[in-house]
Parts: sequence; structure tokens; C-alpha cells
Amino acid sequence: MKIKLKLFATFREFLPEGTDGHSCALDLNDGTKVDAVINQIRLPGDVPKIILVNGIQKNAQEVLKDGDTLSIFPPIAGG
Amino acid sequence: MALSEREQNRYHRQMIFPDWGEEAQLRLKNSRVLIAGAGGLGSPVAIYLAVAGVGTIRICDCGTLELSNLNRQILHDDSRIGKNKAVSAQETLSRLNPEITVEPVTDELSQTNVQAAVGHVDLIVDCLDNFETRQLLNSYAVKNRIPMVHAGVYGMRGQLTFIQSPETPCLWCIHSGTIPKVLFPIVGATAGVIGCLEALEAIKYLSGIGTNLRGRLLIWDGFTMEFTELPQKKMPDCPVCGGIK
Repeated sequence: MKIKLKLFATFREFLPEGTDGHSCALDLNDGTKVDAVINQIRLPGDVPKIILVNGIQKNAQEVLKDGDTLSIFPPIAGG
Repeated sequence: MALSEREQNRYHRQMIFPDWGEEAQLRLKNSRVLIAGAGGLGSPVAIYLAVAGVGTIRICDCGTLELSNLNRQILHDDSRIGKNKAVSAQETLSRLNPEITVEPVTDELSQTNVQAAVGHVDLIVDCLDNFETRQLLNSYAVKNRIPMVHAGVYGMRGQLTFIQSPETPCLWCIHSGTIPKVLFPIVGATAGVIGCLEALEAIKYLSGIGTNLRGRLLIWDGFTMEFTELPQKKMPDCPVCGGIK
């Protein structure tokens, strides 16, 4: 299956090499969970993240489906 | 109540916007807003709401001004070090625009005082520095149907959205956790960029001009000078706004 991965702010550097902009397409096995994508791109597990699948907040155990858009970015707390 | 001649003159340059006029200006004058936080974000928000003519600004901050705040907290100056920030804000804002009312709230927001501290307002502007208090305000705003402009800053980055439950996702829908409060890098201009956008969202909502960032999270990266927008949807099982119709 294919998904679109979007990374923002400090997470952008974890996009695959050669990626232009904020997003890339990923080929994944059926049934892949968000945490497997996080491991695959080597995004540190212990850093707070906001995870959206098709605009809805999900956790890392969410199972992805073909055509999903996965967006991950750090929560920005300062004021 | 009509605008005075002095007010007509003061707000002339914004009143000549198409669809603004005296009507929208009176809506601003009759508005009551809570600005939660008189720090980096709260400074530009409070200044621009005050000079735009928002009639009553309630500004809440329990903190005391420190020298290290002054690279970004432009409501305050050297002479106010050691003073409560909400009280300092009142002094600045009343000088900038004597036509408005400014109410400082010096208590720390908590579950027990949130109702008294916020009271009845038309809009909350989140200029806080932590998610714990933001979630407290979010719950109060959702329960009382008060719209809230949310923003956060870090380094040269920021985020912004407009929350109006039940139509839009609430803050819990966007980020359901809290994160530890840490000393973070920040340059004043970052708070200026995001704070000005927050002020504009507030002014548009209160005056009835333009459209707001409803269900849209704006992410700004100052390192690359890029604005990106992410559509946001409500969490179907959100414990804060899930049951509200």
C-alpha cells in the first residue's frame, strides 16, 4: 500500500534523503502501524509528537490504510 | 453607544476597510477578551487588541517580570522588573489606549479559580507557555462555548489555530497530552510573528470581518520562512468536546 508522510518543524530532517518540501510517498506492507513508520524513518521514540492520520489525532498504534496521509510534528508549547 | 469623535479619529484607518465602518468598530468596543499570559505572545496580542479598540481586555499572568523576559515581552520594560506582568501590562495598555478598560488578573489559573479568573468573555486568546494550563482553559472554553485562539512558539517556529467548539476540533483533539515545561530558545520576533497573527484572528472574529483558521492548523517555520496549513478534524471520542453538540 502507499501512504503520504508529512513531517514538520524539527522532524523534517527525518524525511528520506532527496525529499523536497514536507512530504513524501511511502510504500508499506498492509497492516503497518504508525510506530513502524516512526522506527523506519528513525524519528526518536521518546520525543513528544502530534500524530494525525487524515487530519484526526491518533496514537502510534494506529494501523495505516492505503491512501492515508500521516502527519507528524512536535507540539509547540512556548508562549 | 456610538463612537466618540476621538474614537472615530483614532480608528479611522481601520474603519475605512470595506465592511468595517462604525458597526464593526462598535462590535470591537463592546467586546470583552481574556488574554491568558502577558509574556512573549501576550505582548503583541495585547498591544494590537488594545490599539484596535477592543473595549475590555482582561489579561492574566501570575508571573513576575525578570530581565531575561525582555528580549521578547515588549509590554514591559526595565523599570518594571520585579512587578507582576498583568499589572505591568495594564500600565502599558492604558497608556497606549486610554479609551479601553484593562483588567489585570494576577492569580495562577487553576481548576478552582478558572471560572472567576476568566468570567464571561467573548473570546479567549491563549498566550500561555504550557499545555497543562492550556487544557484547563480549553475545557472551560468548550464547556462555556467560548471561542479560543490557540498559539504556541519555540525557537523560530510557531503554530496557530482558531477553536470554536462544537464546530471545530478543540485543543484536546489537536494534542491530547501535556509536555514537560522546559526552558526553550526563543527570539522576540518569533513571538511577534505568531502573536500578531493571533491578534488578527481575534480582531477578525470580534469585528465580524474575514474568516478564521477554523479546523486549520497553521505551522510557521521561521528558519525557512514557510507557512504550512494542516487540516484538522475532531476526535470522534474526544473526552472534552466529544459529547457536545
